[in-house]
Amino acid sequence: MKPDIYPLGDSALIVRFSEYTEAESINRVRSLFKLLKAEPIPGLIELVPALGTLAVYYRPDICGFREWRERLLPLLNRLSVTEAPPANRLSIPVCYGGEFGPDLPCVAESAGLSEQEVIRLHSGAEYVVGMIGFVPGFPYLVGLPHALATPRRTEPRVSVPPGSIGIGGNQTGIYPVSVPGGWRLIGRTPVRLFRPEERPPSLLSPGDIVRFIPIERGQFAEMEHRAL
Amino acid sequence: MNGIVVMKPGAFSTVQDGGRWGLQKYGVSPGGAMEMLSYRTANMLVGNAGNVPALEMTLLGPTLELRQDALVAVCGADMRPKADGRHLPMNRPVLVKAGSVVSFGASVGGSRSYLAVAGGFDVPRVLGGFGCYPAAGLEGLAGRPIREGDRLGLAAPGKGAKSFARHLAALQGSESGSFIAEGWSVAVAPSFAEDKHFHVRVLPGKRFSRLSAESQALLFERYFTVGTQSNRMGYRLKGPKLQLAEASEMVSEPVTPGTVQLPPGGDPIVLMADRQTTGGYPPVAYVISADLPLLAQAAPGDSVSFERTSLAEAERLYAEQQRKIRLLERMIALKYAEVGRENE
Repeated sequence: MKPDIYPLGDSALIVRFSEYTEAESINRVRSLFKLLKAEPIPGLIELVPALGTLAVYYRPDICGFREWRERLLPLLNRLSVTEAPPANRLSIPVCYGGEFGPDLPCVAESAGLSEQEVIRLHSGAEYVVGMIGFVPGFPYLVGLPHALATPRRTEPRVSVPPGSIGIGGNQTGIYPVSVPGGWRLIGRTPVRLFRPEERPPSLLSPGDIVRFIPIERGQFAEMEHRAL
Repeated sequence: MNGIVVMKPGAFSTVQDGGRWGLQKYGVSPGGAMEMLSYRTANMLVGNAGNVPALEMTLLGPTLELRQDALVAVCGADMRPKADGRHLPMNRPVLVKAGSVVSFGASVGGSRSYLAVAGGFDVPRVLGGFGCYPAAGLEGLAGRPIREGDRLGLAAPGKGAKSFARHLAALQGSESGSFIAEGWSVAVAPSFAEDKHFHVRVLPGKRFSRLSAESQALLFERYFTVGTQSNRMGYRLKGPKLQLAEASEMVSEPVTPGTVQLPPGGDPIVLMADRQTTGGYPPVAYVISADLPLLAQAAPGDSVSFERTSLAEAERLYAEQQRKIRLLERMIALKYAEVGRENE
């Protein structure tokens, strides 16, 4: 995969490893992130790993785009021998269906599966956090079983309860805060994904490996209570 | 001490700083002052470092009662500021006395104005920043615009500002009055005419070529109007509808302030300070950083037009703007140093 480097305006650029979301490009993004943190280029402001890309925000009066590209190319050559840093693994408890998953029936119908099978497939997969975006702490998870891909709602809900697990196209994610949203809601977690009082403020980081663990309503109530 | 009490909040007044950087990878938008030049200049004029919290006022400013003496500066759109009914000069340090009522009206030309106080507004620091980020419920002042009855605390001013305040007090002599303004002032870019038209330069994005040929031309040949749903997150532009040559899904990608996105409806959106950190709509162009302060002064109903420029030119303009800021900083520092010597 030959990476593509292109500007986003005059003060940022993207290093893109592929046009499609895949775990391999995520690892390369993480490796490049690690290299740039270790040897920062002058004028670097911030690095943002995203789906198959790394965004670099910089001061163009210190190094302009052309100089950035010159300095990135040797680093990109080193990526093939650089190991991606070990990923954190997390388990997220989810109470599927019922009042927490109002769209579970329609996901099941669209997939031609029973609700139980949807839950089994969704919780049986291992996901990688491709990026955090849209709102603070919202993870875009790569690895949704193809059978569960479901188009977004045509009309977004005005407000999605925090902790809701959603499916949007071929991605799955978790709403950390109450916002309007168009993804299909299949369950809810009592875990807080966004904690502004902590560093980092997001439970999940790009590159983390996530599994969903089904829990019962009673367990949900108990965990929610303990989290307060 | 006793801070500043809000008598009338104005249309949308929020405490902002220079932005909280380093957190976009967690989905936290940098935020910060919409119009960075006026924000920074106001802070420099009262001897504050760059990132200190100031009050960002939008379209119609607040009425504030000062419960303590304060060294202040107002920069940005002219909201015809007054102290106790008397015209309060902008773009210079002013010592305002305790008990004065400072009022801001509707902006005449431009839409955003900044009130900086020496020491800064004393609001809780959340996620490494002081700015107000209503969309995520983050602080500034409880993550919301100021309301009638709010009391804004002021942090302690530094030595330089205290010395400057003494210098202004001495200028007043035996005259009574709610404020004493410095004689000199600074010229703050951007200058925006009262004709309410904003012409900004853009760089085509990687997806610019996905626009239909007609839309590529329209982007630069016609003007757009800032829609009523425009705010700190972004400006929705109304005008000729733009179209991609072919519809296509796009994977969400990180964005920057000034990103011009094209949603399916055809009305472009220009992302601003409180934008979401990633965007799923194709980014067709980017307003150059040097022109963001100008664009930040546009209000709903104002017109915007775009001019294509090159990356080399955009970088050159940015560097020039930074040089001007540094010169201004040095000039103000010299004034402060002069006053410091006077007071010895």
